[in-house]
Amino acid sequence: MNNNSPFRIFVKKFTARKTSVAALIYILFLLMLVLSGEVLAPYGAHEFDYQSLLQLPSARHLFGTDEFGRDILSRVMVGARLSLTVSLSAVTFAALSGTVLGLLSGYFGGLPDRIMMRICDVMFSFPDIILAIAIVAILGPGLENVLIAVAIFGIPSFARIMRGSMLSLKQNLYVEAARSIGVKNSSIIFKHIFPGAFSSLIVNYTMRIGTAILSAASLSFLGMGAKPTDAEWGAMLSTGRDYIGRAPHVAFFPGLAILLTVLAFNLLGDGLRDALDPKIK
Amino acid sequence: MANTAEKILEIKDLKIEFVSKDSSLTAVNGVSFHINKGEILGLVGESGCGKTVTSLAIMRLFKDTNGKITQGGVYFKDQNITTVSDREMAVMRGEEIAMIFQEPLTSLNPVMRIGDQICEVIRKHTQKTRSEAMEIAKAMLMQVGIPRAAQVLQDYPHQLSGGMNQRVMIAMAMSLNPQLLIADEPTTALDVTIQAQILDLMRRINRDHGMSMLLITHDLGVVAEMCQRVIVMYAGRIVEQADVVDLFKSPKHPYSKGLIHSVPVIGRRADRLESIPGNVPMLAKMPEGCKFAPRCKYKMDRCEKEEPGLFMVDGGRQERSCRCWLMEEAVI
Amino acid sequence: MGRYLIKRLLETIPLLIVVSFVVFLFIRLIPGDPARLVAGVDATIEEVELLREYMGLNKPILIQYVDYIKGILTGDLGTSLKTGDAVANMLLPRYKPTILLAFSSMGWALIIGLTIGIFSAVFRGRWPDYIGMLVAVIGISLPSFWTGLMLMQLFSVNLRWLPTGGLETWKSFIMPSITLGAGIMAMIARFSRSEMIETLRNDYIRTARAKGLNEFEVITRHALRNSMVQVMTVIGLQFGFLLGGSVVVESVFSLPGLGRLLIDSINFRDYTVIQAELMIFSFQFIMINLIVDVLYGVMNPKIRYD
Repeated sequence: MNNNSPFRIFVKKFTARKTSVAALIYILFLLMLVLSGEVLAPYGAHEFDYQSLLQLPSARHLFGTDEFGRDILSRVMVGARLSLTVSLSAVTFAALSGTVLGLLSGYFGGLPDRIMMRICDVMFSFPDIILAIAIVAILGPGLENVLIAVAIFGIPSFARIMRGSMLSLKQNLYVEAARSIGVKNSSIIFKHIFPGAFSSLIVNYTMRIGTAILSAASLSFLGMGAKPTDAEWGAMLSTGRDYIGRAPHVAFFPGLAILLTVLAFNLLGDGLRDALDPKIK
Repeated sequence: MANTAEKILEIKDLKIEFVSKDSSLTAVNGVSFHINKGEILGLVGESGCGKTVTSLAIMRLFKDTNGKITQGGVYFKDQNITTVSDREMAVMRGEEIAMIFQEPLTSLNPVMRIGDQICEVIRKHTQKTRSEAMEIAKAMLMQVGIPRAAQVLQDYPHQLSGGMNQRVMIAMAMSLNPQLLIADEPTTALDVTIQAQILDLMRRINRDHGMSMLLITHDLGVVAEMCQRVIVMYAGRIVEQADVVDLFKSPKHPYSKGLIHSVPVIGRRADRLESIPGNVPMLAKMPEGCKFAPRCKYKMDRCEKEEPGLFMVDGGRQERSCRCWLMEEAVI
Repeated sequence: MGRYLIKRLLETIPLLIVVSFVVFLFIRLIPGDPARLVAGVDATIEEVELLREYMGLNKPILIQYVDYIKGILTGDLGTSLKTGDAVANMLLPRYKPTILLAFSSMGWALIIGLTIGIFSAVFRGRWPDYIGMLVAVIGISLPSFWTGLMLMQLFSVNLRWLPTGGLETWKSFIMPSITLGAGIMAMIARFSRSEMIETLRNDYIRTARAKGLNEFEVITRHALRNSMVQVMTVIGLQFGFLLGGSVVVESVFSLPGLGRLLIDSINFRDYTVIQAELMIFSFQFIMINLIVDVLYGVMNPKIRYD
């Protein structure tokens, strides 16, 4: 009886996929890196060293140095903190607001619901990046504004999902009410609807972190996000661009960091989705 | 009376397993039967007894499932078709053996016109041109009693009713004049009145074209109306085989008895509906000994330990057998 | 079908209007003073005021909006605050690189994406599936600017096969379209795989096999046709991704397209151009989605004939 609890089944399915487990380990490692601050970095992120400008990877500087002699490995590690904090905060905000908006909209229906859906439609009329760029254009450049922009354009997808769950919940409630006394409504919500909605919420959350990291980095690359001197991955690529040809490692490593991190979150999202799907295995 | 000398299809000791990474489940175990030329053989049983799996095995339609024939053989006109190549099997499908399924609407491609779907099978097996094939398709539609055949050729499945779609399926199955038609619950998804029409059609085809049929169903009424002989399956095994009249008049196997007696008869008063207690065993948890024993009124000690063989039973209009220890004594 | 078309059109028109109003408001929210920008730093306050009056910036918002819409309908998108040129004239030459980039990217993204998706579905669970899906998940994780730069490093610098940027020959489009197409290819691969798997589960596939068709025929004649109807809808969304991605890719490869113009105009606070650009991006996206919906209606007989 204990052996088949939903949690156990979930863990078993999840660990069956090696890629998901590897992704999870990588993410935990990143989190650990972020939480330990700059302690683990071999050099300071802003530590200039005019003796060793633009050096290729070596034993002293595993990822090489940039145009100011700064150690790229250290900067990439610090960049992890920036990218993860920005994207996690933005997506969490989007998830919370989107969920609340979606649930309320689905519950009340009527005019507020239709207005909300129109607003989502309008937001969906713009490709993601364009929307983010537009928001940053109003608010001005800077990483905080990038966070706000990414948070805002993430809201509609969560709102849609939770609204959908609330609508099917309302349908079920009518059926239940017709049959039973109608007292246990709240337990119906938590026992039946939340699991289904919860899994799509979690999967969407994970996937959107990947999107957020890419968007934030793109904005920084375009000069609208972090300052070029910040140790942010996108910004590092923006300066690294000038050194393509002479010192490709300057752009290579931050970009690789972005790729691996987004890949990890996407693999994690895929693994979660398949492990939570009752139809599989 | 069917010509008992010639067998169009013979299944010998068929075993079908579903193989997955860590386990294998036996869906059908040691099934043997034959169909005589021109005969309609009924295959009866509850859902999950293996009747559909057996029918799919005949044409080896197991792709996309984990099903495998692990033992035994299927012989069509004395040729072992279990071992022929995929290409040879494909040639036989539609041309020598045809199959129709339970849900006619979903069994037809929703984005292809009816005419094109019928032409497809004609042109796959013959050298006819498109217009020739269309003519044949039209003729087939008319034969199965579809009015406005020319119009229907241009229609899409969702524009027709369930009954019409099943007629289309039958027309398509017949278009190459196959010798054997396998019909898997062809009327289960249809209204009672339409059911009657489809069954009429099938009977007519059997009579006029001499087409042998394997009719799979769980509905005893259909069996009574259509079949000359019946096979009853339970838990992947044949439990009784008999002439249809014999089966209804005096079923020998406890399961058959339960089935026959659970159908209410109009005109006869009954206080309660009889039913067979218990459930069909799961493939993964088959009981030892006779598979029906847990639910059987007449079970003996022996039944729970040893699985009975299929014993021949005397005194039937045709060959008769039953898988029950009670029958062992009956055999002389 | 007619009813479906009309319904879609009726839904689209208000959306276009609302979006145009939203864009219009947006621009007004960007900090800064257009009149000051045009007049220059040295102009006096009175001169700036005169200019503001002349530019119509003192009129009530709604009147400005109406004027603007009138302008759009007659082809007048205002004048650039930076160069003074008519915006419409600025935009026109920029269309070509963006469209060429869009089509070339979508072109090979479709071909490779569909192929991977179909093979992965047909060989589900076996190694072509694992490899295909691994390639796809990497594809959606790639930062386009990094891919672009790395390609540049390899093909322009090291191998000297392709130009680094600009618009000289057709070769200038190879790397940009690969960069932009990668993410789209990956999404198409993933989606077409799941659609194909769903389609192959249907009963009519079993019927097709029962008719004696070989696997290839079953897949091409039956499964494909049905999956493609669904994949169509995803392709429309991908065009949105394409439009957004072009901004970055055009920057990386210095292609003088619409995307790059957006960035430039934001940096210069050229409000009229920004406004026009945002309108174009959103309108294009909306129209593409409309076209995809119509195509879907055509391909799905249930809608076509009701």
